[in-house]
Amino acid sequence: MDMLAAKALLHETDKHGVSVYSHLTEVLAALLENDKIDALSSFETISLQVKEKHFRPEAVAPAPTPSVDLLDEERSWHDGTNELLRGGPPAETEDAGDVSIPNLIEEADFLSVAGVGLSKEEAYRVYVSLHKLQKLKELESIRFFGKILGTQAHYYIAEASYPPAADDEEPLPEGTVPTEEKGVGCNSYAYFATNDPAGTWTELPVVTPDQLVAAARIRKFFTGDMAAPVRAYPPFPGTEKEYLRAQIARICAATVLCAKGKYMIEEESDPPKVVDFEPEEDEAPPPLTAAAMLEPSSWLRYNMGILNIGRCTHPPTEEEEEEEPKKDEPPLQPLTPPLTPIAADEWSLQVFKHMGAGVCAAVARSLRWPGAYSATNVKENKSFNIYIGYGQAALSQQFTVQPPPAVQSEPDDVIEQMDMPLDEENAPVIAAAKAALAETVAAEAEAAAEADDE
Amino acid sequence: MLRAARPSPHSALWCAAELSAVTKAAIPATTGNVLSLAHAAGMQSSFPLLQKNYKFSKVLFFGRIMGKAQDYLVAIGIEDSWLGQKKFFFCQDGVSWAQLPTPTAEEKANCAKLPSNQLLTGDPSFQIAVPSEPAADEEEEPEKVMIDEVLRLAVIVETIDSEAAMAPIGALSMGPTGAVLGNPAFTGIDKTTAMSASGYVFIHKTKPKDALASAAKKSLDFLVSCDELVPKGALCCGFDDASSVVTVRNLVWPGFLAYTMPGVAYWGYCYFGTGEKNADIAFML
Repeated sequence: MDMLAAKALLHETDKHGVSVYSHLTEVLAALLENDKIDALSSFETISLQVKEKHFRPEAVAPAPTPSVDLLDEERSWHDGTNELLRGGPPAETEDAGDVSIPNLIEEADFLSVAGVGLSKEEAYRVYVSLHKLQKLKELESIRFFGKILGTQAHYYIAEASYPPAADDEEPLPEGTVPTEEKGVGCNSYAYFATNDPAGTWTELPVVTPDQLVAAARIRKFFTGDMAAPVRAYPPFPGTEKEYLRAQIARICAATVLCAKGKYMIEEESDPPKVVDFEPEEDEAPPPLTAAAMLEPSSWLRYNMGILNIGRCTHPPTEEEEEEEPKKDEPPLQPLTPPLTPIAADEWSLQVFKHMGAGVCAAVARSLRWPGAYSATNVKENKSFNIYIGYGQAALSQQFTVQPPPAVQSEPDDVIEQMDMPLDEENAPVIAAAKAALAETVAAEAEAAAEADDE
Repeated sequence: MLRAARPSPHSALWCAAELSAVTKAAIPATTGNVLSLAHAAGMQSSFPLLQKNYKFSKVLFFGRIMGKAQDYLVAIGIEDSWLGQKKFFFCQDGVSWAQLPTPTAEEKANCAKLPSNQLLTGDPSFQIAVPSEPAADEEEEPEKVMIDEVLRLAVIVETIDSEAAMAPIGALSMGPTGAVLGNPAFTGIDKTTAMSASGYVFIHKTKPKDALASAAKKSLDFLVSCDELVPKGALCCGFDDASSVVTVRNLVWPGFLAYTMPGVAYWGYCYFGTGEKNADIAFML
């Protein structure tokens, strides 16, 4: 190697413009600048410090991650999901007959026009899982209610109903207001929840009016753990499992919609019962139009509204009481029957006409319960409902915690009385003494008289 | 062994989400948000055009802001130098983009006066009146201030971007001029780091300068850690087994979602929501 080549090698710069030559120059300059240090022993340190001045991201960036095989680590989820999907959904048998499972895959596709839904793969996993749940529990009907997001995990919720059961009624939980029976009002359906479609579904308990009233007073994110306590004020009676069930009941009552002309209320039914629409006198129901679906009056709430007492209907009163209603009792809150038109200010209505094949999707999004969507296939009058959200209502103003109960007032002051003047206090004593004295005197006089007589 | 298909690693990006992360990878679908077919198809063709017409180095998807009658889609255009201001665009059909105005401080203050729970209408030309402060008796009635909805949208987008935008730690570096750049040496963060708030930094919150720190440290550690977000626990990290992506939700801005793939320089964030800040979070955790 000749001199020139060697020099050229030392002058060769890296991508940051540093060469051995320039580096050595800087190191020597640094050593000369600081003449108090031992130049030879601190040579390496100075060299490193000088090198660090030239920024090289790769030197300070986090070290590249060791290639962890994610499949090893996540054995349980992948195994469980494989197990779930093996063999696909149970084949629909001919004799399944009355079992009703809406096609979630079609629903998810339809709802995506509104900008809500699951990914295609997730929808399929839930779809298979619902079929398996239906088989396992022998349910009469099952539908995907939606997904409630939690801070640590999410809940998938299935809404189901059992076939009419024999008399094995479990006792209902008691509270200040009687709980609605299974199949009625807020307990019309059974709900199942799971964190993972491949996991096991847990049936949620029946909801009590106390829980409904308490749930409306608090505002709390779900954690994703059904056994977690609900730390809030006023205290919620139960764990997250009960809170979840109560919020589902509130969401379900407020946001499950159907289009006009699909259902009607059975005549003379109490509580009102929803049945399929049957046109009177062979008159077909007026077909839906896209324009009409932009009117709130075309959308009906499928369920009954929840009253302030936490039930959909008033508890049955005793016959005697009914005859003589107490005058000071406030009048009962009027019921909200099913199939009530929605309020215009609580919903955002949209129509999407680009669905192909003349299909037009009308979508209602709840502003009161963000995440609640209802989509109607206008051509077929078929509605799909889904809720994906945090399970919290939107408030018209900031949430304020209910104040603690008022401090108990002090007891009434004791009324004091003046002491009796001494003379007055002594008067009866003196009188008694005088009487006794008089008596003694009289007795003595009598005795003396008797003695005189003798 | 076959591995699940992964997006190819590319250099770290400045902000927001790659369109494919929202449409194909469907990352926001974990929280129930999907793009409709019409929007997704529209953006596939309009993003490259937007990039070409404005000479952006990249156009990214920011999010969808809900309006009562119609939603707004928002995109971010990034200029070549990284130093230039980023530009926000909005549209309602996924195709016809228009630039959002840059709000002044006064306009931001006016928007802050609007009552809460005041949803956007979905009509960009709609004007909303700012509630005027009660005037003193003898003063004349002050003139009513009107705010265009486009301006409100701009304020919402800018606020969310400045308050919530986040990046994995080490993904961004600061050059000697103070310009924030993608770190070319960033190779992703590991899963344990990705699953905690301390694995992320807020893009628009810089740390106070530390004179003692070494130059190398300063160039990488210059942003406020997401760990410092108040209240604690408002950032929820979750691992999506199906896509091997870690998602981070910011409950102060419900609808905000950041994501990163452990071990890969693949990250971004997006927002789907009403544009309302969660004022009740103190009670909700």
